[in-house]
Amino acid sequence: MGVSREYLIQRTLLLFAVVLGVVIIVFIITRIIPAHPELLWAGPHATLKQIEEARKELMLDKPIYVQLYYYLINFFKGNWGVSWRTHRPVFDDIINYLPATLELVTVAFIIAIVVGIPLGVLAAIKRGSWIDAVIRVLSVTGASVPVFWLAMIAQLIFSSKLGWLPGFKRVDEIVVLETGFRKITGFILLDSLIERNWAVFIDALKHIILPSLVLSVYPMGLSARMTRALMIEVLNEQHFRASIAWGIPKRTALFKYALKNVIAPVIASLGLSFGYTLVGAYLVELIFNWPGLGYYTAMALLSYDYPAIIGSITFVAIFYTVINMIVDIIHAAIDPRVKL
Amino acid sequence: MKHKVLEVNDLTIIYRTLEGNVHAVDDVSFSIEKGESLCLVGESGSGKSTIALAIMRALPPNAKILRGEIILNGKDLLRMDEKEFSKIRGKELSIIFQDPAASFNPLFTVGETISDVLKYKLGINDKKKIKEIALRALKEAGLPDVERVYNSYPHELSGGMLQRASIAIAISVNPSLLIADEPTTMLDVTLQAQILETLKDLKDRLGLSILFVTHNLGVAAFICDKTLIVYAGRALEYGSTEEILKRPLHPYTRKLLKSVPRIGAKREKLPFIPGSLPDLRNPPRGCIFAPRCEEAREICFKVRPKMLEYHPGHYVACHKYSEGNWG
Repeated sequence: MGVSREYLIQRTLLLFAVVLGVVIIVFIITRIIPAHPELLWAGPHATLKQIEEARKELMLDKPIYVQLYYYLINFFKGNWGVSWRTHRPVFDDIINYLPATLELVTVAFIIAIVVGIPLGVLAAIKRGSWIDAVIRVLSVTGASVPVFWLAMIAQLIFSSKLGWLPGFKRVDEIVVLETGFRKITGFILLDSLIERNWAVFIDALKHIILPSLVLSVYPMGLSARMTRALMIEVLNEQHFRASIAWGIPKRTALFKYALKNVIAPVIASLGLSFGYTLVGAYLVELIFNWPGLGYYTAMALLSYDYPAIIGSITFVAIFYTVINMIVDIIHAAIDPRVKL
Repeated sequence: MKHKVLEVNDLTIIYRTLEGNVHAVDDVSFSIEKGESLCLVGESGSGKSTIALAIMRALPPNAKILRGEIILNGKDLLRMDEKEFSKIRGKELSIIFQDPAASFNPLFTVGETISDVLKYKLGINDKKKIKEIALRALKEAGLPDVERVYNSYPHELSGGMLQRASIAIAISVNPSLLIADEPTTMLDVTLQAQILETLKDLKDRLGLSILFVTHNLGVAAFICDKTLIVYAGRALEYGSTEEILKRPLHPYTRKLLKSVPRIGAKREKLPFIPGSLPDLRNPPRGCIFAPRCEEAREICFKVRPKMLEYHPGHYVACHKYSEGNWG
């Protein structure tokens, strides 16, 4: 695999620059908003004096560059501040809420890849047929329907009206209490598998189906379209025709040889779409009352919880950069011509 | 009489396009005996590649075979279902292509590709044995350091090495017929000679029958026992390469031979054939070459000449050689 040390150093420096940029921009934006977060910090029945003290404590009386300076110093020390809403360290909050989001996004991406890529291959092989037409219409629709609308409609139909699937939360609290389920990693599906707690596993699975399906629609449409386009290209390549002419059976030529040419770019584009999907995840979490990062960030935004806002947005930026680095490495692992 | 490996009879192929049907191959017949090589010589657009593709059953979807038969070892490839043909493809019939760099999937090592061909075509599952056969074939194709080539990705090898690797793939299955579709066109001149030398050597040693598609009469002279001159989808002259080069009969062949540059000749303008290929959507009624032929007479524009045996084994389709018609 062609990953050089220079690449890793370069990417780490880039990550550093991205974080610095994001922190500064988000910090300035939050401070520009005319709001009075000290009221939140001081509590509902605070006296004027207490509010004044809160302002001092939060350094809101200092100029913005002084605030930024102290924030940055603490940030790179690992102290992301204390949430003004929950009164807990922001970093701990994020780590606490992260597994729910990761679980949701991971399941969505697995669905997107497992369904999207085969659909794209099928459309390419049956190019011009009605199957191709149906898949194309579906994938374009999937990539263009707004996720919050789809989330609400799905919730309305499958949860409220038909009652097939639960429409809120990650798991039923009663099932958790009855079976004595305990968190290990915070990934409920994983934890329940480790503990062999099938009741919780099945319940959590039921809960995740609707939101993850809704979330998977965009990357699924994207990967189906990309796969189709790339596959058609590969099918016209001389090396594909050569492999057939040399006697490699069509199935092997398609699913071993041609598909490998398609996978790397599709994964790369999915990596790039990850940011978009994360935004989608925030909306889906809010609608499905899913206690993840999106839910946390939304609550932070609604209550002017500056440290939480900056912390969670920065965290997403770091996450996005790392994902793209992983995508690059996967690409290099698949394609011997790529040297990082 | 020797065993005929390939027999092509009255092959007629059209391409359906929006502007009408293009008569790409019209009534072409030839045959190849065991251990023999035949060159299809013609300029671009003459239909020579279409013939090769038809034999491989790899014509584009808008092509249609109107008439004719392609008989390989006694079986008509055109009257075979896909399942039956898939047993022949890559086994009795193999091919090397014009562009060696484009013939290999860039994400797989040369060894992986060869191994898969051997696995499916020879039905061997023993990995060690497959590798053994593959390495032997690579060596046979004239590659040094076969172990390295086996483990290399296509972008790590030169065009010449890749062409040798594709020759190795093609011969590793012991095909009855090897189709070589302009295999040296994309290579530089010194490499061309080496590759041709290798192919000739393999032909002599393994008794390989080769159908060689080329626009280069020099290539034909070097490697082919027989030559078929095709022009605008029709066969004009057919016979042993030696005969055709020494005593070209058809005016087109003569022109073609004159337009080959020679070292040591006086520096003068190279003779060329005026005009261009006829419009194959509406091919001329008579001889296909008549509009460009200096010797053409009235009959040439009216009646299509038949392939006639002028000398034993030397056929030509030209009115000039059919007595009675030519004044």
